[in-house]
Amino acid sequence: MADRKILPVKYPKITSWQWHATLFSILGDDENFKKWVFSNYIQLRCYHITEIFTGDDMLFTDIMPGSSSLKECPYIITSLMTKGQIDSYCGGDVLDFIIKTIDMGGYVYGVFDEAKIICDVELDYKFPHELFIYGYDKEKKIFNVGDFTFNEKYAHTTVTFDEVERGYNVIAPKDDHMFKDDYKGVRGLYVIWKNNETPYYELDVKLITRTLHEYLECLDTKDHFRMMRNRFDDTIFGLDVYDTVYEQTMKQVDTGDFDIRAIHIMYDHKVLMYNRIKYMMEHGLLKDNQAMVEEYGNEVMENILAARNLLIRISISGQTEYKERFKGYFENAKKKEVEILNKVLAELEGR
Amino acid sequence: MQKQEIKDKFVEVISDNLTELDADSVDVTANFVENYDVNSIQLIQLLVAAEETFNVQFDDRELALSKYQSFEDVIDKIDSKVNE
Repeated sequence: MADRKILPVKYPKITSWQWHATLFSILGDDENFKKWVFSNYIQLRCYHITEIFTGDDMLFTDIMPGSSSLKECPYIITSLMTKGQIDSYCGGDVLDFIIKTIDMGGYVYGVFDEAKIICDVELDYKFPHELFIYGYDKEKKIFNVGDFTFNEKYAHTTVTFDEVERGYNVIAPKDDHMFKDDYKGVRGLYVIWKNNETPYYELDVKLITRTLHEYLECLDTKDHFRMMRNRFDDTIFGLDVYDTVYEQTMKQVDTGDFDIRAIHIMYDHKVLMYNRIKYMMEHGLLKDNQAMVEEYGNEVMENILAARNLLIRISISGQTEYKERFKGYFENAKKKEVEILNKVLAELEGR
Repeated sequence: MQKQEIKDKFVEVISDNLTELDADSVDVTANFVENYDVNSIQLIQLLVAAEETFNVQFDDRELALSKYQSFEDVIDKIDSKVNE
């Protein structure tokens, strides 16, 4: 067993949610992975949930396939390890389990109480959050991790063995949101193996065309997956996400209770769409049209970035007179996106 | 306003807003994300404070972290606005 090992990671292209940041950290710029990402990550969806930390209402917004990407992406193999298995294999020593997994080339991902990591004193609350672990140093007694919690932005950083152990031990099955929706009463960790040496997936123009249509028409993309899940019917899809996020943001401005995560994932969605259009032009699937790419970047991507920045400005300054400006950014982005994506869709359907 | 004066005043803005940094020892030419862990929200905080200090306005697109590598880039942007 080595004293130190760090598995390869890259700073992720999209960072909105921990599952996306983890997947993109592991697979980085892999050309095969790009084909899967550009075939998926098209449909936006949102729905209201109860925030796990605060209990407040939250508009949960994500790009499909959402957190399922860690199970569905063909360029990783994910093993779900229950706490019972981990205890059995390593005599209850989670640090031993993590180190052995990394030695074998496996990344570790799971829910830890990060209050135990960011704070030395005992707290009367937990902060259950997914931690991505990709390396260790036995001499320094640290793990290399990817997370949002420690640097107020997504960062690859380090935490101590002791912090990880304490953060793992106090999590109960009800805190483990990675397991509890599907496996009641069970908690554990994901072990993720990189699986990108062989191409398994081609860029899927049929899927892109269908999902772009569903995005523009605000149709229920989840309907295709009823074989696996059919419990929820309160999801908003596609372009309607603009209106729902706008309404939610205006409520935030009025109450002073800000959450930029929905707009941030919308921005990541635009970054991916911009890169998808460029990629399809570079590979001859769309006619080369640099003016269209620039227009998408300047009018769609930049307007959503401006809206996100403005919301942060409002949260700092408390000045609510910028509401109209915010509305303008959203309206302009939506109008231009509809125009460009309809052109893209027409071209793909005419192939 | 001379650039040196802008720099001195901006270091005060850093000192007032990023209290975790020792503003006097900050290298304004260094990459502020890699060296000082500056994030999007902190940058917007600095730029909004700079608007008041220098009586300038930043377009919302100019508030993006990706537009700057270092505090010096921010100082240059303020300089161009103050002296345009």
